[in-house]
Order: sequence, then structure tokens, then C-alpha cells
Amino acid sequence: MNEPDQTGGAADVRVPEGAPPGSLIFNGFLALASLVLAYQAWTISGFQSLSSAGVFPMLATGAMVVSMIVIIAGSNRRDSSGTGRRFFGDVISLRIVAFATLIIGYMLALQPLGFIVASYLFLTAAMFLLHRKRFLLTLVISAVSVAVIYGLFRYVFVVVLPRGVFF
Amino acid sequence: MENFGYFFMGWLDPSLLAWTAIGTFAGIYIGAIPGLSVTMAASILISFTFTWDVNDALALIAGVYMGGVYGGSRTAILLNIPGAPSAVATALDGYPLAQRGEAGPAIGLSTVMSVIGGFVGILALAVAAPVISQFALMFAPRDYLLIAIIGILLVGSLASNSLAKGIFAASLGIVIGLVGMDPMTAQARFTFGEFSLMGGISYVAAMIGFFGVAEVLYQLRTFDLPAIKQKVGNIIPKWSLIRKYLPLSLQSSAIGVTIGALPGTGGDIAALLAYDQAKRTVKNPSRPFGEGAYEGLVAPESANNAAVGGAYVPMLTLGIPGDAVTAIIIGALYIHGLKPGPLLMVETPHLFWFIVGNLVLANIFLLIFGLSGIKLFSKIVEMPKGIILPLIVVLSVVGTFAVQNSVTDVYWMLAFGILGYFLKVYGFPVAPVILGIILGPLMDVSYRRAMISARDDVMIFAGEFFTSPLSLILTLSLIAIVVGQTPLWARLRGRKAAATS
Repeated sequence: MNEPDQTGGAADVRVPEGAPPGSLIFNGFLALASLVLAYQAWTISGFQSLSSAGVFPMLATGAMVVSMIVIIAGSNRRDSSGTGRRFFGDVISLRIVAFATLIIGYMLALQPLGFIVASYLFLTAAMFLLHRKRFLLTLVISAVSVAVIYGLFRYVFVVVLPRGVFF
Repeated sequence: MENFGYFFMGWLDPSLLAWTAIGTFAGIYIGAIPGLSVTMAASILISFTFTWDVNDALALIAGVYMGGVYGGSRTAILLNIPGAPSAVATALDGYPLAQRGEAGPAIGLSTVMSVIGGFVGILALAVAAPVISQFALMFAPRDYLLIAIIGILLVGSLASNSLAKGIFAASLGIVIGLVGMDPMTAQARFTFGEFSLMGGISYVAAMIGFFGVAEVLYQLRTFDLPAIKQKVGNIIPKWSLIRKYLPLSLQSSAIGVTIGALPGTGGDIAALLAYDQAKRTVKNPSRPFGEGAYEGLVAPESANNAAVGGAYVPMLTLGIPGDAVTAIIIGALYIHGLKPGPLLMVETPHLFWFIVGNLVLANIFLLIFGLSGIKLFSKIVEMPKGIILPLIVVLSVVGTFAVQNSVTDVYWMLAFGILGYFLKVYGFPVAPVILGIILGPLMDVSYRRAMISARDDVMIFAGEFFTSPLSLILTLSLIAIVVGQTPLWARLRGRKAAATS
């Protein structure tokens, strides 16, 4: 039985061993995105007047661009960009890719299969991927979880959940 | 005052009593479970309760609100995951405490301090509501803008080591919040020609994405690390401990009420401000801040629950929401045919006293459930991650879908989840993004109103920040915060400290 892992998570954990591999690429991506958004902000109303619809978006995207320049300028010196292998082991591990794929699959299946079937399949697959023990137990836990969530949202909160071909 | 009898209405009616209790109990768990937010729960409850009697609905929502603001602290302490934005500051010292094996006292103390803060907030609501409403009436658009900038700067600088990363995160949030049709000119902004983006991006989707799915993915990264079991012992705090921190609690509560009463700013900013204030003023903390100081727990937990009472003040007196949850409660009041605003207190004063009495009741239930439910809570916390993470994903999907019955929102949520994962990995704080999303539209409108009233003249616009007394105070505090963040200031202080030691 796994103990709860208390070490993970946290909105704001400090990364002790410096920036993880790939930060240069990610910062570059954010800088590029900021520039695109800044251009978009400029196209809203240009410099028509100081109270037009585009001024505040330009200020906000401008802040994004400037802060990204500060971040990249500060990180260049101490950050080695890291090897591709470390990036794929540390930032995008096989487990994270597999789990994210399951989530995407779940969302795509939500409308054709409906909430009950899609959620059950997702929970079973995801729990088996992460837990890897007692396959039968995960089948039961998934079934109970789906029943409780469905009951709660459908009958207590009266939320209309996506329906599929069968349910 | 003849309406004061309504104060006890919720106490004597069994069904109102029950709904308040259920609301508070559920609120604690909703606040504690990451990805489930009070805002989301409140908005779902609106659709669920609109056929109910207005008093029942208000009782349930008040309970959820009170419990939810507190509940976030539980997971902040035990898992270092703030269950709600208002618990972000709680995690800074709460989690180190749990790592030292003091999770029990930490939870107990934060419960009692939340209740004390809650009472201070309600007292302020009952006593000072008319006064504060008069004060708030003097706020000009530029003051709203200043307050929002102060809030964002504080969150940006507190939530990470790098102010630049904090500002980037907040600006990103503002841009996300501005997506859609401009409310003043109906121009499309950041829609990339997509018609579906005209209505904007649901901030519930963004919030669940950044705090739910991103968190799940982030936890997978550290999945293989050896597990540490938190020991939660006796959680009833010692009387001496409560007495020792009572002055700090009352001081933080005062901050909480004030921030809560400011439009738009709720428990999250109140908690961060109170934490910051405690960090500056407390001379000899039990441990250095950030390493498990009880002061770092008392301040935000008192403040965020005090902000609940504070947030009701502008809602009931002016019809302006004090934070996101009170914005939803305003919606609920409209559904029930009531108009929150200056006339609410005149036409239905009994409603005011009913709400005050009901909040007191919810606070009492908070003390009872907060100090007793820990066994059950630990069971949830002790569930293997391999089971709880997929469940959080399902709840995130259902919750996002539920708000607008929209699958598009679910896709947005996943996109924000993946973006949030990378932001977290590379050391960007996520909390300022959410604040930016909520405050962005407010800042935009406030800025433009201020600029229009200055007739687009930069000199008049800038001059007004220094001529009105209220704006002057806010401007000066803003300057103080900015100067306090610069490397020059840190160096000056470092030199001064070196000289004295």
C-alpha cells in the first residue's frame, strides 16, 4: 500500500538545484507568445487615444514582454540549457505523457461515450497506470467513485452531465 | 434595531440550522480538496437552490463560504497544496510545520484563529457596515486601479523568489481576463477572430486548470520520491498558545476585514497582506518565517476568515462584490428578487440581521467541525496518490463542465493545466495568474474611467493620484511596495543590518 506522498506539489516549491533543463526554451516560448499578444493588443485600437480599448491590453502585454526580458537576461548567466535526455527524464517523463494522453482521451470521449462510461474507463486506466497493484480493486474503486460523483452532481446539484450513446 | 430579533432566526429554525451546518461541513472539504473551489461550489449551489426559500439558500452558501475559506488551510498544511487561493500564504509556514511533525497543533491553531478572525469580520460587518460604506463611496476609479495594482504586486512578489516572474504571471492573467468583447466599446480583444472567444474565457476553467490539473501533473513528477507520512496528533490547541497569538490574530483580522471590504479583493489578498505584515512586524517569531513559524500560520488564517465578513460589507451596502464568492451571492439575491445595494438595508433590514446571525452560526459550526473532523480528513489525505490524482481529474472535468455546461471550457481547462504545469516546473508562481484574471477587467475599466474623466490628459490623470487624499495614500503605499522590492533597497537594508550586528 502506498503511503501518501507529501513531498510533491505545492504552488510555489522552490527548485533547489537551479532551473530544470529546458528553461531557456520555455522562457523563449513565453517571450515569443508575449510578443504575439503584444502585437494583438496593438491591433485592437493602436494609439488612437489614451482611453481606447487597446491601451490597457498594451500595458499588460508590455509588462509581459519586459518581465520576460528581465527573466531571460537574468537566467542566461547561470543556466546551462541542459541535455535533451535530462529534459525528457525530468520535465516530461513517460508517466506524465501517458497520464496527459489519458486526460486528453477522456475529454474527447466525454461527448460520444457520455460521462459515466468515459469516466469509468479513464479512472480504471489512470489508476492502473499509477497504482499498478490490485487490478480488480481499481475496477471496484472506479465504479464506486463514478457512482458517487454522478449521484452527487446529477441528483444533489442537478448538473446536466454529458450523455453518451448508452447512458 | 427592532430587526435585531432576526439575528436568531437561523438559530431557532431547524431547517436553517441544518443547512448552515451542512454547508459549513461541506465547505471545509470543498475548500480542502484542490481543484474544488468555494467559488465553483457557490456557483453550482446557485443553480441548485434557486427554487428554494431565499433564507435556506443564503444559509447554505454562507456555511460553504465560511467553511471553504478555512478548509484550504488543511491541505496547505498537510500537502503543501493550497486547497483555495486564500490558503496560499498558509502553506508557506504550515507545510514546514507538518514536516516537523507538528501538523496537529498547526491545524488546531489555524482552526481557532480562523474562528477568531471570522468573528472579528462579522463584528465589523454588524457594527461598521454603514461607516465603511460611506468611506467606500468616495472611491474613484483610479483608486480601484491602485488597489488592484497593489494587490497584484503583493501577490507577485510574495508568491515566488523572482518579482519578474510574479509580474509576468499576473500580466498573463490580466490578458486572459481581458479576452473577449470589450464591455465599453464592444471591440474584440485577443479573440484571434474566433467567435467562441467573444464571451471570454471562463475563469473557473482557468482556475481549475491552474490549480487542479497542473497540480496533478506536477505531483506525478515527484511521484517516486519516498513518502513522508504526516503525523496528525491531538489538534485541540493549548490555551496558552491561543492566548500568546491572540494579539497578532486580532491585528491580522483587522487587515482581513479592511481588505475584504475593498471591492474585488478577498481572503486571498488579505491572507498574503497579513502574512507580509506579520513577517515585517513580529520581532521574535517562534521560528524564522518560511521554516514553520506559528506566526506565519496565525496571520493569514485569521485574516482570510475575517475577510468573509468584510466582503459582505460592500455587497450588502453598495451591491458591489467584496470578492468572487460575494459576486455569486449577489447573483443569488437577484434570482430571489432582492436588489443588493443601498436600498437593501432600508427595505429589508431583517435580511441584514439574518445574514449576520447566520454567519455567526456558521462560524460556531466551523469551530466544532474544524476541531473534530480530522480523523475522517486524514483518511482522505492517506488515500494513495495513484487513486486520488485520477479522481481530482474527474472532479476537475465535472466541475468545469458544470458551470456553463460547456465542453469547450473543459478543453480550456486542460490547456491551462498543461501551461500551469510548465510554469510551475520553471518556477513561475500560479496564484498571480488567477488574481490577474479576476482583477484584469476591473483594472481595465477603472483605468479607462479615470482616463476619460481626465479627458485623456496624462498630466491631469497623473495629478489626480496626488491631489485626492485617498489616492495619495494608495499611491504612496504603492511606491513603498515597489521601492521595497528593488535590489537597491535590499542592499541598503543589508548594509544597515550588517552595521548594527
